[in-house]
Amino acid sequence: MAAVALVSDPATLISLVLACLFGFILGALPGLTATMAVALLVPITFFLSPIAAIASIVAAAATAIFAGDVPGALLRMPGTPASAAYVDDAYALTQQGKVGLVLGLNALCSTIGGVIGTIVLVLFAPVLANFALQFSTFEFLWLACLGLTCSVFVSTEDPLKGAISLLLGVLIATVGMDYTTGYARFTFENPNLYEGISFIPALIGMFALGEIIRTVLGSNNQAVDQATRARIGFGAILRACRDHWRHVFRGSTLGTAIGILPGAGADIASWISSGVARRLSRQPDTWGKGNLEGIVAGSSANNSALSGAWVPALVFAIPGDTITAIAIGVLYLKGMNPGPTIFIQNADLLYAVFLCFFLANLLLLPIGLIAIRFSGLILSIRREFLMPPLLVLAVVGSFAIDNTVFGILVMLALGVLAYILEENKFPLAPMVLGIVLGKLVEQHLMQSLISTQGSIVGLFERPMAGILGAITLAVWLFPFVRWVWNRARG
Amino acid sequence: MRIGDGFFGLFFAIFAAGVLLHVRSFPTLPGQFYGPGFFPAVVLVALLFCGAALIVRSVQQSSEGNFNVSAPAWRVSPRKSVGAAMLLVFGLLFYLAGDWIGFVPLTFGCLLILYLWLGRGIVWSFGLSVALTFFIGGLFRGILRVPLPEGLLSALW
Repeated sequence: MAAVALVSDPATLISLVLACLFGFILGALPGLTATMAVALLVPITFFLSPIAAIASIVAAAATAIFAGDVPGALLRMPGTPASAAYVDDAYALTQQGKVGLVLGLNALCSTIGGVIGTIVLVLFAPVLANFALQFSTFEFLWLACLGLTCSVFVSTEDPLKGAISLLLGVLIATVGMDYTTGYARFTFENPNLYEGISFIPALIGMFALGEIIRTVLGSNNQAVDQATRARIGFGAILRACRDHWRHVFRGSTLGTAIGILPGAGADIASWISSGVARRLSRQPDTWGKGNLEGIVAGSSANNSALSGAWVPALVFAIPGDTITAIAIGVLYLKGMNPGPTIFIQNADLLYAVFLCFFLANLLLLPIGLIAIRFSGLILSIRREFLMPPLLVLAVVGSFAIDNTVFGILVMLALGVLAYILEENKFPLAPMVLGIVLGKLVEQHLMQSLISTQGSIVGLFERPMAGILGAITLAVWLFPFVRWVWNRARG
Repeated sequence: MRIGDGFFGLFFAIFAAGVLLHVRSFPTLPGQFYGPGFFPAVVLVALLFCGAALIVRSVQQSSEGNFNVSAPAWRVSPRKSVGAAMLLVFGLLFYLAGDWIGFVPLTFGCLLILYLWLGRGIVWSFGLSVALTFFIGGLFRGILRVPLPEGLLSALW
């Protein structure tokens, strides 16, 4: 009941609705991602209650992912990468005059996917946390290393560039006073760096500034003069959903499972789920010409992945995707330190967070259906005209976290770095996870080394730590073994 | 900006080697091999290794390796590149002069110049810049109570 009282607070409900609208606008604009929406929202959540802050993040992310379907269907330009997997079919149906059916189905499947993902989160996370309570610093060390490694292999086609991106992120996390001795590292005697590089300005730079620069330099900034007006027939939407319930359910469960993997987010979930639907399709010849199977599978999967990503984030403090990486930062700021003990120390708050997940995903349907009617108006805005106020929001948001202009410098530096790296096919997700988890990995490593008197073998002595350590080392060594094997076979 | 993989590999390898030399000056815990430099050193060795691997892969892909640096966006549209540079300059201006000019005048000036640069008329740009400045200022200063630097406007409040 305490959780219900926390969620029913008017401030929480108002933040939830406003975050939904904000997420819809940013998600519906091609090229602006759900992560960018969340990154820009963080400075505002800083001033909200913990529940209102998390509710806003969940609502903005869920709505932005759904809203990405709108320009995909109307213009064949996916609003977010998570909508790209089924954009051809959605656009083909729009050409056939079924835009209302496509967008309504997107909203309904996104809601179902989000709710199924949340059910898995609510049922699975406490069980996993109960198990994780037995973990010591050794197990957490290897688990964090495994999570980071996983992000390299899952989030990119080029693991070498993923590894470099990850290492840069971890290196950024080492800036500041050392955990064991308080020795100042890489601070250039600048007091602003003693506490390390501020996480939120760094993320705003990486996801907002990088995208702003790309949009200004981009060529496809044309507005849409007349977007097709969507007529929504609820009967047809429900019938289509019922006819494809297997794809909805499979997409939701697959999306949740993929979301749980560190580094794999809604984009990958959507592609894999659509790919599976294609392989199992009864009408493979209609793909790309208006097949609903890929649309329902993909839009269920991308929203369920958002909820799935919270499982490792809450239980192990290992983010499942870039959005939960940002959310972990917010949880720390709000005093809700993620990890298995959060289920004991902050049970009321946590169950309120779960309620927010349900509420945000259920709100997505009515807000989404209403917003679809105004989608033409949003799409008529030239994207580059939004960049000046978004730049100012990024600047003011970076300042607001610590009330210092140094945050702006961090935002600019990491924004330019992220832009250059991404333009050259270096993925950003491993870098973000490196920044988030770098400090944690170092803390666990140093604690473990101190408790084993510097014995490396001691890191493997506990049974679970030994298993996790062996798996981690095997994953690290696998590329070399494969390379040697390929060389030996000529 | 397109930078060849070989160039990136070389940069990361040299960077990692340089910082590794710096990390060697960090102290260790008494009687132990580890200290504040241990974890960064592990990360830097891995980065050095990955940089070298990127160079090797680049050379394997083409005999000279890919060490090119190009900026296609600048060639295709210098105007857009100047626009992107302006965004960064305005960001830097907030950092360097935000405290004494103040965020409100800077926000207004930045929005006005950028909208004019994007080709909007003076009345449209002025009106929207004023509205957005009030909205962003009101949101952060009024509702969220962020102490945005007042700068030149401090005499007015």
